[in-house]
Amino acid sequence: MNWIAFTVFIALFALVTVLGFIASHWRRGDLDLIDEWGLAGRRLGTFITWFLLGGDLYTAYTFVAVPALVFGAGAIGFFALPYTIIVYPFVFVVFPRLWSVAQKHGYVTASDFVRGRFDSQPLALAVAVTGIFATMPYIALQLVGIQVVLAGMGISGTGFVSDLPLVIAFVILAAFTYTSGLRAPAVIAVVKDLLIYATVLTAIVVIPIELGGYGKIFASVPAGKLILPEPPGGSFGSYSAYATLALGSAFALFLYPHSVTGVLSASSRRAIMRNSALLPAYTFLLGLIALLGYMAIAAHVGDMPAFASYFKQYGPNFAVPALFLATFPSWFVGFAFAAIAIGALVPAAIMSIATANLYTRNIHRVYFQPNCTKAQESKIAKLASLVVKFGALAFILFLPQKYAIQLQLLGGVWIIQTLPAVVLGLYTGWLHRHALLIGWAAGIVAGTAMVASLGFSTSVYPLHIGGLTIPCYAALSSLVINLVITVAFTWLFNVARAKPGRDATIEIDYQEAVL
Amino acid sequence: MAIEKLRRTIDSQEKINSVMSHDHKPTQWWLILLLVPFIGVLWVPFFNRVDPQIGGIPFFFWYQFLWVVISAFVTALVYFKATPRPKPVWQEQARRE
Repeated sequence: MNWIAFTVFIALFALVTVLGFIASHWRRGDLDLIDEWGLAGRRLGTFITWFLLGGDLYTAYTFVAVPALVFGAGAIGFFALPYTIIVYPFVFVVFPRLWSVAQKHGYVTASDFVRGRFDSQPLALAVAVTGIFATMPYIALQLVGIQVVLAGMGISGTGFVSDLPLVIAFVILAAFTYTSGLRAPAVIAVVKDLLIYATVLTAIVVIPIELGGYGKIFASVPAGKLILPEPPGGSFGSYSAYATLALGSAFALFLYPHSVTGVLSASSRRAIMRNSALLPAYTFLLGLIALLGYMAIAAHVGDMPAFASYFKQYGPNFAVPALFLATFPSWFVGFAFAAIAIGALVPAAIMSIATANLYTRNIHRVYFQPNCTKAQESKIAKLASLVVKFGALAFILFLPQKYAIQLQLLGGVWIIQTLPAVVLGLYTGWLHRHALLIGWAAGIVAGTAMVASLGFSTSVYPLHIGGLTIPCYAALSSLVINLVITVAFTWLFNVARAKPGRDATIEIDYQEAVL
Repeated sequence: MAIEKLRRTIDSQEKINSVMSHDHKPTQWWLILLLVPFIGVLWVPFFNRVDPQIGGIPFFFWYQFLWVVISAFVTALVYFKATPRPKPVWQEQARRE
């Protein structure tokens, strides 16, 4: 048990807990309204939005899993960099339109928008359910980040006792999300980021000094892990895998409910555009964190007997904690581990709020309690956020971790299937509502089948086209199937004169709000 | 319902016309610049190489880090060039005087 690290860790965690509860008073609003609880009143400026989206998109799991992938598999793990580069030009163009139309019509979720645009209850339900299912395992995986650092500080036990710290952390998270809503992660995100930036900037200076410079670090990485392996003849090999993983992930990222919540809580469409230019600062940070994977290889943490049992239990995910334990004094280890654990609380809070919004607005209010009042609506959202979080906790405690990882892998494949309705829907109402639903279903089935055929171990499915093998991220190839089917059926429904939905929006709703 | 929508469409078009004078229409061509980062980082064979290195850091890595900066810069440029802005009130007043 590492007492010094643990004391620093607890102190920082306590600070954040207090902040989480105080946050309800910040820019005070009536928390009995879902707009106030679940979107912080749509009043977050450029600066806070930067912290909120940064904490939301670059999760603790990312910070543990990306260097773990680089440590275990090599350069392919770096796809996170192109992925989080190209996502912002995309966001810059597309998502201000979502913000404007949501502002105009009071939409809180992507599903609200789809119902307004396409006038289809089943399609809106499909979008909501996809969002909820894609996000649940993601919340569960945030716990893995906390679990790994707790283990790194030597907190262990058997049975229930070993899970106790995790349960306590989650109860705290659930309590402040319930009382403060989106304001809590917005405030905590600022602290979390200061910790993360301080940790990473220290690590990328101090560790290379100890290891003899960057040149030495890269020189000690085996050739097969340093860059992508040359594709074999007749195949695009890792090249197309790398590019499609980046592109597909970029298209999927902002369709996740927690991203939509972050976007809609901004105070203006300009705040979103400015953030598209400012958020790459986190991408740079993520790249540096990815390099920690190579530093872990160079430091030979995998061969250190002290860590053998941890690597056995947590796999490559223990690479970064091991690197910190091997390099830094205990107090700094506590600081860094607190950064990771607090980094898990922010996205977990936003994700649970986002799924709660979806459940309340698009399932409960529609199917169970059509005439609920505004106060009832926000009450249900608060309760739903509790259910979602404890569901995620139970998931991690009672099922093997590999299920959460596999479901999160599938989550990306599922959520991208809402792109035609949500993203293309921002530009055109031409696509037919029934065609969108059929395309969505085809994409979900095709994508899931591809990942299942690979035994849920990877989402890169090799396509065989005329003697050529093209390994492609299943999300992207299934999206193409979805799009083709959606367009074909739209044409068919139009020919058959099937009744289109009544569009509640007009073009001006999507444009500059000041007009 | 349909009439209400038509009325809103006409209203909004009038608003657009009144607020956006000719010299104020942003050039949408700037948006094409946003495609550049996609080409830069998705054409893998171009950058999957070790040399040239900078300070022991292989090309593969510094190239992609460089694109983080370029991409942010391009997005900022497009923001300043292609975003419609309401005319500042003082400018309007100055012209009248």
